[in-house]
Amino acid sequence: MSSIEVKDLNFSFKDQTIFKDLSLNTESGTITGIIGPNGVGKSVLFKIIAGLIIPQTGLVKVNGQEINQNGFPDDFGALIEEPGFVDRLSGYDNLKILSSIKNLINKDDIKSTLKLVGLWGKHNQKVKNYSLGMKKKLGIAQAIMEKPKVIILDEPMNALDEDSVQNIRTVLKKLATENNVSILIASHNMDDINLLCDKIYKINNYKVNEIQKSNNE
Amino acid sequence: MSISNNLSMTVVNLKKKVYISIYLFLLLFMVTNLYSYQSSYNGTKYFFNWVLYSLNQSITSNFVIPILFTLTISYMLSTNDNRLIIYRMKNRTQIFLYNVWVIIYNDLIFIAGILGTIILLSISSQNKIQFNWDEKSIKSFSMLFNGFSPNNAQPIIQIIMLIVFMFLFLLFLGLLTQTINLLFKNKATPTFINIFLIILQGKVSSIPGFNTNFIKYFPISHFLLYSDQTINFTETSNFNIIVFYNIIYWIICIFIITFILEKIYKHKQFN
Repeated sequence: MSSIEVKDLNFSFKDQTIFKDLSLNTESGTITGIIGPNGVGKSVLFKIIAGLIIPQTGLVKVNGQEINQNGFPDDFGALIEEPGFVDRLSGYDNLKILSSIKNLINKDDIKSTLKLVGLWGKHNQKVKNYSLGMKKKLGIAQAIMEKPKVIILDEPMNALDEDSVQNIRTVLKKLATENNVSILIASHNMDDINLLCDKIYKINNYKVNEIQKSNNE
Repeated sequence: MSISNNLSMTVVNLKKKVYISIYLFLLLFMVTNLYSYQSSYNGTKYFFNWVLYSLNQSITSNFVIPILFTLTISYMLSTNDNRLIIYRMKNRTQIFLYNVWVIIYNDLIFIAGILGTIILLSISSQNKIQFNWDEKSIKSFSMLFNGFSPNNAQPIIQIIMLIVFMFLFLLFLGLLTQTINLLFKNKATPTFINIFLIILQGKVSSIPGFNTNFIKYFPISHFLLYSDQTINFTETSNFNIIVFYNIIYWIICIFIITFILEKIYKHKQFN
């Protein structure tokens, strides 16, 4: 069964067509990449998958659940554009607040997630004092902390240093292979896409086309 | 329900420091009310008259409390478009319910704050508690309300109903505030509109050429008992009928605005 299924998606905004009959699939235990130039609609597609934006027509399913105006995806984690953390609170407290919404995890889970992304030790610093890279790691942490079955990450490696990039790549690979998680990544970095992804889609002319890994377009 | 409950309490706890500023503002205006109350009448002071007087003070009830409430609701629900919160909700109905929870919670905080302040301030003025109207308390009341006679209904019943109407008014106002907030992307325009609407309805009777028959359809005519804009509430008016019509009015208003807010959430694009 597909983890994410998008079929015949049509979406336009202020008379501008963004997607026309767009379809894609992702499978459990795999990482799927999305590439395309700026402004082509990668973030919009992620917002549609997350249920934040309602498309004009088309079918979106996450873990078999149809995403429409009646429901957000269950068992799902997302990092889309800039995450809105509370700047005056620490990274740890931000995750604690977010985790209190679904109440699925405890303090130890938050601690182990922060260790995983390399933020443990700086978890008590206020987010306003975090660098861009640290905020990105916190964004990844909130997306994976509840151990969802489907994760979508919009430019997850942006602003990360080389060591952190390597670490996050390892974390994501492990999640997919060991925990059978389906991960969808949008990135401009072809190294990330080629090293991480089992399948790559390119957005072009309002649709996505599957491309070969060796294609470095 | 529990998700929206968890979230509303989390958000409220996160922003609870705002209540100190609200309380200080309320206290300031209630002290002003107490000062005018003390200087209006020199005879025996009656506790229920003081409560009726302070709740019906138009500057406090028509402007200060609604404006404070509308700003509080906008602030408390300002995290509404946070994607990290939204995608953790089950559906859009839960975001809507979370809004309603936050509005009701703050409404209760406001009512408790208003009543607490009124009772606290009454301690200094040595008010006499008397449950029924008599010649002296009516005389005291008339001096406070510029010669206006109180309704026959027991003072405490009138106060209870005033509190109920104020709760319903603030609930309606909170829902209206959030509805207007959702219609705009920026925060300044809806804040301006919300405050403008409060001032407009508070001053509607002073607008030259405004048909006074329409005033009875405005919220302001349905949450105060002794204000300039309250229609036909005199000594001889039937209190039960006024209460009945006011409650019907609020049920209809709250039902309509809740329906609109729920529909807006169903179709909102969280860009």
